[in-house]
Amino acid sequence: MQKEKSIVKPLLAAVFLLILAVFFVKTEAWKQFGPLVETLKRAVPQDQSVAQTDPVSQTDPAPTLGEVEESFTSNLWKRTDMIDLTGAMAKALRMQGYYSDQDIFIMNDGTILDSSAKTTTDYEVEQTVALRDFLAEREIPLLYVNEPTKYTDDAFFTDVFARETWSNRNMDKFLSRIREAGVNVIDLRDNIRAEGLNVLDLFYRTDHHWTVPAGLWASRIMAEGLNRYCGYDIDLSLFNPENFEMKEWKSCWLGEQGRKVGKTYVGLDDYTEVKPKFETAYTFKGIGRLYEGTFDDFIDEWVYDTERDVYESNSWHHSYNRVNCINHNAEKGKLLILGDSYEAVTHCFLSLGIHEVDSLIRRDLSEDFDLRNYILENGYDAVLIAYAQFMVGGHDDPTSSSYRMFMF
Amino acid sequence: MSMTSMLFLFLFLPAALAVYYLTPGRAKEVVLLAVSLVFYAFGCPEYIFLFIAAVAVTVVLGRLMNRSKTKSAKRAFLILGIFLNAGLLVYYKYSGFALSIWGSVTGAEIRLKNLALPLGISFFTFKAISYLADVYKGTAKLNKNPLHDALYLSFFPQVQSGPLSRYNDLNTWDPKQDPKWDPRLFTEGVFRFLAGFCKKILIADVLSKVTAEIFAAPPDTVSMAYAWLGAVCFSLQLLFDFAGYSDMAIGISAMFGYRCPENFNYPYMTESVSKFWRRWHITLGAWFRDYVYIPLGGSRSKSRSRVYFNLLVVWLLTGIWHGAAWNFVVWGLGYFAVIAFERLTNLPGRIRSKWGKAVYRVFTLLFINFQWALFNAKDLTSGLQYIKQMLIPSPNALADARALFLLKDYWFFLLAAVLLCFPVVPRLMQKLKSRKTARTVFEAVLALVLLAGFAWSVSLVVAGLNNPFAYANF
Repeated sequence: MQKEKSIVKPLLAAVFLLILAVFFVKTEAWKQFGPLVETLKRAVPQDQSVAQTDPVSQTDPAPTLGEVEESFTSNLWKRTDMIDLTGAMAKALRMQGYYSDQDIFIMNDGTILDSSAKTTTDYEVEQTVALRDFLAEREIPLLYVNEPTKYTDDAFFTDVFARETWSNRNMDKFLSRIREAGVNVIDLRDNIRAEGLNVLDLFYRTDHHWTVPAGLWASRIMAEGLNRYCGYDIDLSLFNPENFEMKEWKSCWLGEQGRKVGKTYVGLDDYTEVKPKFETAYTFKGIGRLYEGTFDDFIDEWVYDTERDVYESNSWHHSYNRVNCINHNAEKGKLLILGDSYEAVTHCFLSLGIHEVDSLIRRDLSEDFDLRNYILENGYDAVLIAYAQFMVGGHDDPTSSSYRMFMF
Repeated sequence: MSMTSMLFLFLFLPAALAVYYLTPGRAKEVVLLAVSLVFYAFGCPEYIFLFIAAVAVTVVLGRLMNRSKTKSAKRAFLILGIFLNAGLLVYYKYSGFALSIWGSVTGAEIRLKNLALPLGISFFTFKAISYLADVYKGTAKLNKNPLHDALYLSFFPQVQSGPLSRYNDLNTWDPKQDPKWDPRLFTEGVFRFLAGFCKKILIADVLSKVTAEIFAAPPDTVSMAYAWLGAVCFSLQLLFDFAGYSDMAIGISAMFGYRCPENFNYPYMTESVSKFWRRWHITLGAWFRDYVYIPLGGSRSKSRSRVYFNLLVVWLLTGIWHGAAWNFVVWGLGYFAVIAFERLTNLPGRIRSKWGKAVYRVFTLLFINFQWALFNAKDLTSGLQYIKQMLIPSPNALADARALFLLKDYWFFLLAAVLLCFPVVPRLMQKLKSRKTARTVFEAVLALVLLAGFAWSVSLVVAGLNNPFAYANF
């Protein structure tokens, strides 16, 4: 260590101590003493006989140090400014793969992409075909709709990031196998190509979800598929864009992936709300109650709060809700959608042409959930599986949130 | 608890400093011991009682040894202490490896226990052995208070990954006087802590993204360029990870008023492989020298073969100490082979020309680089395959493109890492020694850079872009 006298180092030490003190106070760090002491309970081996009979010890184990650390860090004073600092530095250094360990890859314009590992598709094919067979025996038609990711050709991703992804090739393989097995399929990538659309225009830049207008576009194609494959007779003109009111906000929110890398890195996203101009009348099947309403009741407009911190506010994408509903302006159809979060904006649009629409997200239900019995008990006349294409392969990893998506 | 976590930085450290400095007189050490045990309990709750027992038994044996009048009694306590401490290390760290060897030799099906490693067990064991051996030799100046010994063994900045300080290193104060606030030591400590924090988070953790990706790929699929990029990044990552940790440990020790030995001295500036180990993990090298090599006879053995046997033992143990797997054994033997060669031929000393020395330096760095590739591989076969990929071109356009992409993405951190392998800052300080104003300005700029680096580092931790210390599981 240096022995010469210096005024700079004492000043540096003083600033450092000040920083520690300010963060200690502003984050209210002392509140973590309790949870930290709780973690020490893990030092004492649990009595298994007590743990099995005592419901408290089963449901409320001592927190791990990792959990306390995570909670502390997520409540740290100036946390979002720090995420912005990281993002600003990464952007200044033009780093595109800085967050690749979180499967976040950033294009020059700030659009975030992700990748998929190669998968056999065996599990997904087996489950989908088995469900189709079960339904076919009961004369309930099944339609599978593939919802794209932000690129329809894996080579595009590889060209930009010099890294392999299997998203589209996995899907090509999966769809060709279930088609061969006789499952009715709509691949929205075909429609994108046929209509000459730029797939990136259908998605938010800072989020992996598609936009509300993209959901409307997809709903029309899904309705067409239901007419063709499931005997429905939906009036497709309902989905014409001129029947809808569109309200736009510019640079107003930050997507789920964008929050991880910072607004300084990828910028804010635009948002468009879409609502029918025509009158609607619904009965909504809320939790434990039925209530009457209109299409507007699908939307939580309080989410559109431009004053709130973009990191703290709700994801604008989730302003549209999947709510099981009865449309009093449509006479036919009782559809079950097995979907994912993309369905937040297709469930409501599809319901405009169908009498009754329910939807489930399989991963939100336990492994024991009896889907087949649920379909029979509720008397659905068609089942639509609409999954984002990265759901295929989720079952390869038991820790994946998509692990149960194909448990039919 | 990691020293780079926000919980440590903004809760544990300020609270520990406040409690320590508010405590009067000699009670400070009692407080620091309690803080150290709490730190261990947070990091490794399942083994805290084992740790306390190991510390207590070691201190009791050390004190009994010190009181013993006869050499044989002292020796008995020493052997018992080494046996108990080494036994713990062998049980927790090597029993799985030993059983797997036994299983493969006998063909017996053995169910491995997969024991979790107690935090810092390799470091604790070596400190305990050095404590016992120094008491046995009479070189440790024992403090009156046995709690001081317990503090030496459990001192929280050093408990996880060293440096492997000696008992006397902790005797910063006159044992007859109360601990005193040493502002200069404290401010130096802050400087070192900040430097270490930045090295760890801004360089090691960022480069670890490159190495993690490349070493995770099946070794036979990586191209030559991709493999070299991974190996070079790992060499730099490991240096800045461990040197960063050591700086932080030295810095925190100083903040609490204790001096701690240096652990790194610009190791990649070495002239030979032998000298590399006098610059890398210095306290480990010194430990093996003092407690294994010299007791075995060291270089003074009359028989030349005995000297090489002693070296072989040291390097085998060094390899196994780093990990219970064959790649670490071969890694240790690799160092033995080259160091024995250097000793036998005195080649580095015989080279006189500037160019010759430069060529030998390049050879040394290349050798160390290959060694780190083996070190970081998941097993021996993968390590050897990886080295093969570094030496023999195997076309893989995508891997080559990816290597280029990563270079483009991480060039700044690579450049900074390479620059900091040289003593740029100390040399500049030295040059400005006689120019007070210029030196102060330089120090001020350095302090601002450190603070900015610290802010950036904290932001990376908050964004979840940090990693555990590479030596944390040793």
